[in-house]
Amino acid sequence: MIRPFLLLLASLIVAAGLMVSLFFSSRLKSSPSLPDLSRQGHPSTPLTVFCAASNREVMQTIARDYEREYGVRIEFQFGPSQTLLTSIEVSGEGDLYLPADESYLQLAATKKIVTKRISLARMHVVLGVPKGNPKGIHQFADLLRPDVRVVQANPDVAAVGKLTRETLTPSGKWTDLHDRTTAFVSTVTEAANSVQAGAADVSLVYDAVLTTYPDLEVCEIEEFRETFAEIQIGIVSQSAQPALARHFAKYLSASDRGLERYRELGFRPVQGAIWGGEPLP
Amino acid sequence: MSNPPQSEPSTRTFRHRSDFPFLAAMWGLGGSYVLLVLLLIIADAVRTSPRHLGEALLKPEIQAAVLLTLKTCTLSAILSLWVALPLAYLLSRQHFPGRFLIDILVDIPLVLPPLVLGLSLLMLFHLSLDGWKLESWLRASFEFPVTYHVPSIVLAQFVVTASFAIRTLRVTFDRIDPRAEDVARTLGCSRGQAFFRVCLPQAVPGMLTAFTIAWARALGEFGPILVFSGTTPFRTEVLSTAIYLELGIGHLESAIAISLLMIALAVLVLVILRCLGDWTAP
Repeated sequence: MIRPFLLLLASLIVAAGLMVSLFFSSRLKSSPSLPDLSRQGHPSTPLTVFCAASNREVMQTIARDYEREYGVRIEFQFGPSQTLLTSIEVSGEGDLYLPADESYLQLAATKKIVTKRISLARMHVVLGVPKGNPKGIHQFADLLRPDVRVVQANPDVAAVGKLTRETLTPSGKWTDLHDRTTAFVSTVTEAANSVQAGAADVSLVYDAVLTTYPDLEVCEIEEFRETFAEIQIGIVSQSAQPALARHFAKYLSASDRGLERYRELGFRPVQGAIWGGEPLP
Repeated sequence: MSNPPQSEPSTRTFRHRSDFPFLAAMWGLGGSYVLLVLLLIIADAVRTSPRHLGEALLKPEIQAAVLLTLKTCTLSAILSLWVALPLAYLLSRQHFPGRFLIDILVDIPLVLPPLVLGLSLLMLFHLSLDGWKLESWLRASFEFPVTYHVPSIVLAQFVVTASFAIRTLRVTFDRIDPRAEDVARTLGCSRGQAFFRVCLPQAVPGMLTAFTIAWARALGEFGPILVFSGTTPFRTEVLSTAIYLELGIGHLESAIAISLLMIALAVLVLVILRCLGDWTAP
């Protein structure tokens, strides 16, 4: 008879212990490699960047550089671009927004969620195929072959799909591709993952996305020679630290700071100014 | 006088028929599911390598995510049990106005799409009522941030796991004969004493099952956490969101390695809970 009481008592003790543990661990610094910056006169409130998962690696690298140089902590919320935008809109939190491409920033600007947009890099629409291109896909006509499984991002949801549709519709090729597409997925990374997992032979993606896929390679075709999208970062209009957010955005867009990292990681950075070593606001 | 004709005594013999077709059908149907789960794990294991598993385990953010996952899953499962126990008992034993409505309400988190649940939580904490917001009030009054912090993970898990726990415990209490409690009351026990001394000891296996289901469900929780808690490494990144982040940058092998780690953790905890169940069995 004592067992239920023992169980309930034990659960209470465990729950109390967990609450204390979680409370104290959440009070610790966000990254184990960083010193306690608040004692050194640096802003103790970190900058929060809502960042598309596709830019995670490059942004974390730049954030580490910035933290070392200026002692300002950068915290990231990663996720799908549209989900991040909704989160900013509902919660009113965040200082900067970096979606997968500029279309989300256009939407954010329309809703007055971001005030200023800064270009960082360009992305080219390409075909993503497995290393060695085993299906021999070199031109648009190959996408229509019955033995080729094509996966692309939904044009009503993802910008790369929308760009593909806009590029191919005037020449009448969109309908052919649409009818031959094996599956539509919701994001550009899901399209690349389909090829990586072997569920598709080719996907229409951005070249920048493929930088983190060592098993995939880029295949450029004539139809998309001029089809580009931009990676931009926007300053959230409700940011509690707008001056600091602008400082970091400028650092990101400096050719010898953020853009240099973008170049190293396989992106096509835009032209940027040299970093003037601006002090923190 | 002739005797009336008597019917032939029944000479029906019962031929022993083989159980094989029955058992084969049962094993065939049931076993197909076991086989499917096994194949899923094998497919994961084949796609990754010990190197990827080792790399994943050595990443400090993954280590932090493992610890955070274990803590939050356990806490949300315990909280679910504490809430489910009284509510399931009331729904099982009491007939009150609105019982049907409450019964439906507690099932809503089970049928809501996970992302909608996360969005609903986010909106609840940032709903402006004449300028007053729950999140701002918690931060200002108690320095207790919820959104994008650890409490949001527990809350996001709890909303779903409590529903599972209530459903499980409701079935448990329905199966316990209320007459034993009635007898206890005729012998002088109050309703509370009858519950604690007669009903609760019989409900222990159900409580452990409810806890196990709640814990397992919390482990796999993803959508509400993604929206309500975010994915900040070292702060709100749990294993399910870590897998999403790895997939987001094309690290398929790493994502699978973390998935296998999750499976191993789940098996370990479920075995411990099963042992605990055997220990508490009457």
